[in-house]
Amino acid sequence: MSIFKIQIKAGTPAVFDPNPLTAYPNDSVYWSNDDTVAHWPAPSAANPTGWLDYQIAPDSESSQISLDPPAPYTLNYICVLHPSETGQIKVVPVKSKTKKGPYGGKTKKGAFGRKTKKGAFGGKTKKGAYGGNTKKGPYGSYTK
Amino acid sequence: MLEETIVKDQTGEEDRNELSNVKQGAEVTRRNFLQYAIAATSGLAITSMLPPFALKTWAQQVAAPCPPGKPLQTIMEITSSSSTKTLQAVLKILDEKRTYLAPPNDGAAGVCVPNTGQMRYIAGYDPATPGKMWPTTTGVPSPAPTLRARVGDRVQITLLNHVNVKNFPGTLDVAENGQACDQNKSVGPGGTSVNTYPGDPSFEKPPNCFHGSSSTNLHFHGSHVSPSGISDNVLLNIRPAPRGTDGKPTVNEQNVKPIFDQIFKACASGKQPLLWTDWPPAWQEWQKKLLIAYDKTAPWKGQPGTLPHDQQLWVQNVNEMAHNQLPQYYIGAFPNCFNIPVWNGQKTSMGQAPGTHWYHGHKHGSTALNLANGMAGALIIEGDYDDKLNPFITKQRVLVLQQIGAVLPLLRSATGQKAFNTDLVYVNGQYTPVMQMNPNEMQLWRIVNACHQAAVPLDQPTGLKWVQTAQDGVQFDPSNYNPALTNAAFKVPAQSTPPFGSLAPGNRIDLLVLAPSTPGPYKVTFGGKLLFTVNVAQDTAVTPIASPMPFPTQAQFPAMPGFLADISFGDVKIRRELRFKSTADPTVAPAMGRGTNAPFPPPVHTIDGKQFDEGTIDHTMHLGATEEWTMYNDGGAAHPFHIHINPFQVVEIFDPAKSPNPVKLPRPWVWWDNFAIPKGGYFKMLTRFVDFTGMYVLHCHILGHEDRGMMQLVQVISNTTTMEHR
Repeated sequence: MSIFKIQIKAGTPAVFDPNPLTAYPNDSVYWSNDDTVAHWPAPSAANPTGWLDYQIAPDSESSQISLDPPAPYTLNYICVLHPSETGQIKVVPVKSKTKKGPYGGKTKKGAFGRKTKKGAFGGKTKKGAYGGNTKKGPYGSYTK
Repeated sequence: MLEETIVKDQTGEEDRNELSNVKQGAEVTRRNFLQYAIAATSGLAITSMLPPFALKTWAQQVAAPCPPGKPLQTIMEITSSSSTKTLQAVLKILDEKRTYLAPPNDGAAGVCVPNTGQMRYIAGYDPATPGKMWPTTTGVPSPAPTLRARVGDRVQITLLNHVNVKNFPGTLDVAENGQACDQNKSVGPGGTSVNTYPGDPSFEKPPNCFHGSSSTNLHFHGSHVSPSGISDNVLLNIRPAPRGTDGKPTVNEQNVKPIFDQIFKACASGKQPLLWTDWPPAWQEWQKKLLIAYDKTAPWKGQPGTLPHDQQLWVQNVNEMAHNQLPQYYIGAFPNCFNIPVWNGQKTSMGQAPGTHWYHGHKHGSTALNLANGMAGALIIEGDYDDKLNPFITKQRVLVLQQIGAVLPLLRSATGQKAFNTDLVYVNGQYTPVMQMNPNEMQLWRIVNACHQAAVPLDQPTGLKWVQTAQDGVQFDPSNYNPALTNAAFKVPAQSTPPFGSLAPGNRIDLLVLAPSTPGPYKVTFGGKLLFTVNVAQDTAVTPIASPMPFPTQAQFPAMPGFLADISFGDVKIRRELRFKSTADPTVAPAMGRGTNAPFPPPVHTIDGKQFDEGTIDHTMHLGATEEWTMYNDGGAAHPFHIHINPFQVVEIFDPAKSPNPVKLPRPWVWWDNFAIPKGGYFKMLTRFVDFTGMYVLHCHILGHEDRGMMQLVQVISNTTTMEHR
């Protein structure tokens, strides 16, 4: 759930930066207009309010859009007011180091890797979370 | 020396903003950051100096096992001067790109995904030492600096709003961009979209929706001070300062100082501005100019120019002046000031309870996001409580718990909202950090739940021994403190039971904590989840403690201040009932908490059947009145009820999940200022509206509920007059 800014930089044509923007499913994006004229990112000229209800006035910012799964996909957009200004948002899947699912692969070894087999804090777990003392209960009945 | 000078010069956020498009990680200290900046500005080839992440404009997100915690950081404290008895602080609302850990979309436990986003935060320093600024790291979450004063001290805070509005989606005040509420359209493959917030047609009604998140004010939660003027006044709205041609805020600590010094001087003698004309003329003139300039330039429906008359801030200020009220809107800065009251010994009065309090942004419509961004800090008020307990401990620990996120759940994509309520809980800006304690050492932990929505019901510890000493910044009566109850469930109602207990959002607890004799790691968990780890290991720099430090006995425990004696039922003249309710859309899908059909309406949160109405005072109380309130929960979460200014005593609880009958609580009753109303049940409390007249609020401390309408306006009025009628 990151949130990314795309700057609209003045020029002829004005440019979107970064372009393309790479994001992940469920991330959010908005545009900040640094130009002295208005701009209006939209999925197509025929659908100006597809993403933003209003043009972005100079020196101001847009509302946000969020990116639904499933990834990957690419969103192409244009500026309704200046159709030669185009941009792309690439939505890519989040990579996972938990290949067999949230608890598969490496996670099976524990959230902290191999060490968890011995216990998150080393071999002591086999004796009890806090070493041999826990069996006796370091504070007697308090640990029961 | 050079570095010292640089740090001193870098108290502004401007540099952070300018450089914040560089990816920053937790390991980037402020010092390193400045070194990079020096190189950049001096024209050096910096590629070889930059950490690897800074070389990429885009860093790949990887869902991986959550990293092990790092050593717990201590939040910098700004303390009152022992000579002037005054706490002076400059607090700046800044913003920067921050990286934080979030749960994966499937919610898998133990898996973390690094997220990034521009986030607002509170930086601060003591004006006596301007080079010593908090936070000391960049690019990662952090709470605001801890403020520490003593009962009887003065508090003088220069609040500066230096948020760069261009770093956030449009979210400014009254309908800027033509949108009263923040907006989110969920876009999927192919580019088609659904308006998921506030819906089309909108399921939200301004002002009860997320909006204006770059504007703010400060609430001093737990303080017993005036709700008016420049004290604990949450009806204010401080907009970000405009920026000059150099890109820097035009309102800053240097140019407000001469004016604020006048205001603070008057405040020290008990004078508060209550009317526009009470402000120094220079402040009136400056603020009027800034507000009118804003009204003439703010975009409206995408067009720059003059806002419609009814949306203009200066017009609203003029309207309030006409009604003899202190205008609400200011730009760039505000002087917060109050004197921490000492009890005068009268039964009709209270003093400030010394204890663990906190402060945070409290502008309606933006409290949730501001706290999710991290805009909260501890406010420690010392007194006899500390004097009596300090001899039994080696140190006090301030632990600020925050649920960190750059985007609120309701503004995420429809799918992203499945992660609702699962944002991770940080401790002092760190996820699952490791606290060091020496064997046999006793500490006082002051824990603040500054999460915007998460309860943190602590589990019974193993190895560590702890005893609760205070709730919500008010010490226990000595008879409620019992060292023999170490680690036992806290005495009702100060108990920690999921889903809400003594650490619902907004609650604070103090614990005396004894480390075991045996070195090793000891986990502190809530609901089975790791909050942080205590690593018991001898610090070789200090003398080992041969045997467990003793808990104070009941006789050694600080005596209850006189004003915190139990309220008497016999003094009650007025009884009120308030009913909190969340009403879900009929198509609600429990996993999402929202309707299943576009625009996926979320539940509506009401008190007494209606949302916050900014034109209505819901309850009016006489100054000095003792009242009995019963707070019902007719549906939804265990809404944490919070009322400003005066604490209350919970005397009866009905929680149908635990008992078929209401439970009358034994005396002496515990004081609270925030209490989770059991689902389907109620709690009954006694309170007194003493010392301060004025207008303030009560609300649910799940702040997304508050922002969206679960709030009421209350007013305390005097029942005395100078009129004669003979």
